[in-house]
Amino acid sequence: MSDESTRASASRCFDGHRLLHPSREPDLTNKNNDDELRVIGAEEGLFEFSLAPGERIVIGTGPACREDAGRADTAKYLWVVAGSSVPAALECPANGTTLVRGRLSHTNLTGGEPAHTAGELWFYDATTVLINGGSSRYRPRIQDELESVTRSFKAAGYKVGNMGWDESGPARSLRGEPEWI
Amino acid sequence: MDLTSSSELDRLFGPGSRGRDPEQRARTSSQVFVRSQDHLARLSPSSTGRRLSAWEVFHAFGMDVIREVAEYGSAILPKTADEPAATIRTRREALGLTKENLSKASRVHLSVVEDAENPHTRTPIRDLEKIAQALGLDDRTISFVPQAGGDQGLAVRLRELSSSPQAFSPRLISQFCEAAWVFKKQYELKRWLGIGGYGVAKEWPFQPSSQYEGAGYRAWEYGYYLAQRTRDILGIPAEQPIESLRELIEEGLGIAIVQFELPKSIAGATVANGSERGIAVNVLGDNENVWVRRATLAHELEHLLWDPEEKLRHLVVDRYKDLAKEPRQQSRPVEARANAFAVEFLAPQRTAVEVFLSAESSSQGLRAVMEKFGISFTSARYHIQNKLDRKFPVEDLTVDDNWPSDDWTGRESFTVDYFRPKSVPISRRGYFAYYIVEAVSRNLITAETAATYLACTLDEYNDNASRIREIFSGESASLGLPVP
Repeated sequence: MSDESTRASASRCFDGHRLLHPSREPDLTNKNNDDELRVIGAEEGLFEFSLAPGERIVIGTGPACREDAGRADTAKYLWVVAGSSVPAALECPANGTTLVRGRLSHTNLTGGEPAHTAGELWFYDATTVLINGGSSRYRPRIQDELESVTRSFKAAGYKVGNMGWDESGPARSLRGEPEWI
Repeated sequence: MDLTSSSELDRLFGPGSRGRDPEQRARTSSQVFVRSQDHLARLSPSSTGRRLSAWEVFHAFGMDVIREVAEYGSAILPKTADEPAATIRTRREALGLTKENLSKASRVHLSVVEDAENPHTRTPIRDLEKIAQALGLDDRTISFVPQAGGDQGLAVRLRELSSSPQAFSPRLISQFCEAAWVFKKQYELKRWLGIGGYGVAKEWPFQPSSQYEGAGYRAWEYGYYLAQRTRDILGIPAEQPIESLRELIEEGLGIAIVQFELPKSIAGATVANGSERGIAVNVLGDNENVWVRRATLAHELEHLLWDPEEKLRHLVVDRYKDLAKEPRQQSRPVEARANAFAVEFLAPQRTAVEVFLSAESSSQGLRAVMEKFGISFTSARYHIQNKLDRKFPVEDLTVDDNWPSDDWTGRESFTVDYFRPKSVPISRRGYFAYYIVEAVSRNLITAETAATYLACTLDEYNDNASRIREIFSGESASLGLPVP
């Protein structure tokens, strides 16, 4: 399969999720700079999620605590289930960024267009990903939404785990070992 | 200095917040946050964790965490991966408590304690808060700050006492931990309300003294002197009774009191949590008579006002058998001084004798002294007998009724006896409850925090908040003490 068809196939794995969890406008309560709505280009690290295995990826593990967050940030990807694609990028591009914020927002993957769900992701290896619902823009609304999108990553060929859901909403840190599916 | 811009403050605390700096914005923000063991987020329809005000969040976690919530939708709270399990386990072991003891003290199932000590488990935040309170830890910063503000010195002292000949029970240890927690929270609420925290008493000219005995004076004589000096400092004339000692201590001197149902041998204690101290007083045993309870409070007050730091040692426990001793018969100078202080502070001897001698009989005179100054039969009898050089045989100094009149009982005890809801433990029914209600009314804490602090349900709190305020608001303005 070509790269394009691989990516299209990956995006189709999220169609069930799209049906169950409709798209919505981003929550821009915390938007601070105009360029948070600018769609970045491939040269700034934007890519579309493909079927496993992931290619040209940075390997890393998710954070378990505050002390761990800085290390984890270097390999943290943002992902968005958009209408017909699943764009992703390293939050802090290896070559830096011109964005005022100094790092990407989920709306830099969508241009501020409606989307279904977003979060953060770490590649443990080319076929294993850990995700969460960490996003102020397209945060999973309920636990089922996080579980549903986790199953979509599985359908795209990845061994996948999520950080879970606690009393505050989607967890952004890992407690114990993730349940891989 | 935090140079956060006005637009960012709007973004972090909501456009309805006012003020030039984060503290002012947090105080006026209507944002509601929600926390779990591991995260803090803004309130959303799906969140079920503990609701916290912007003010609580600002003070517990600071601006970096508030920014993280804004940027990422939530903030990660545990400093290290083994928190809060490590803090809970270490603290429990330092206190010499078993998991079963802690389960009982915190009123959570044993499996919850086991989960809380497992670093791979997420425990419901409301259970963590109960556990933290029972261990004398800060329930707000548990998991965020290792050791969660627990006073290590208090833990060591409690451990010492649990293995001493008096052998403190696990329940008693957790009660003193709870007292330490209440003191810390009460002083924090007072600071937030702008009415001073612990240390109000320090603003008065009380200079702790390590003098107990010396050439030409004995400990009890020095206790009498300190009592007179205390009345002078507070501007209370010798002939004036102290109508509510509880109110004088809490409101006038700013020292927190926690009332407890302690073992019947224990009268009271002074408890420290960090640099903040308070008085724990038993409402059972001899203290069921509020005149005896007043003597206990006065005794503990002497320790806090006049004993030097090294004597207080995080926790000093007084038993009834020591407090009941006539000051001159007390062999330990520290306690002799405090006993003498207690009776002289409540009933200056010279005036008490005048009252006694103006009655028709010794029995009536003794009762008149008790009634006027609110002191117990035992205290009154020794006090009068000593001043009159034992002219009256002790067996002649009797009264028909040694129980306090209703007005004395009401003044010292009504905030406990008439408190609603009844589900609130006695230990939380003091001024602590009043400060909680005031803090909610000023949006400093959420009603849910109030219910958690009072250990009642949210509905119970909402149904009774105005009543709690009424109970206490009448007291606050009535002291008329000089401003230090």
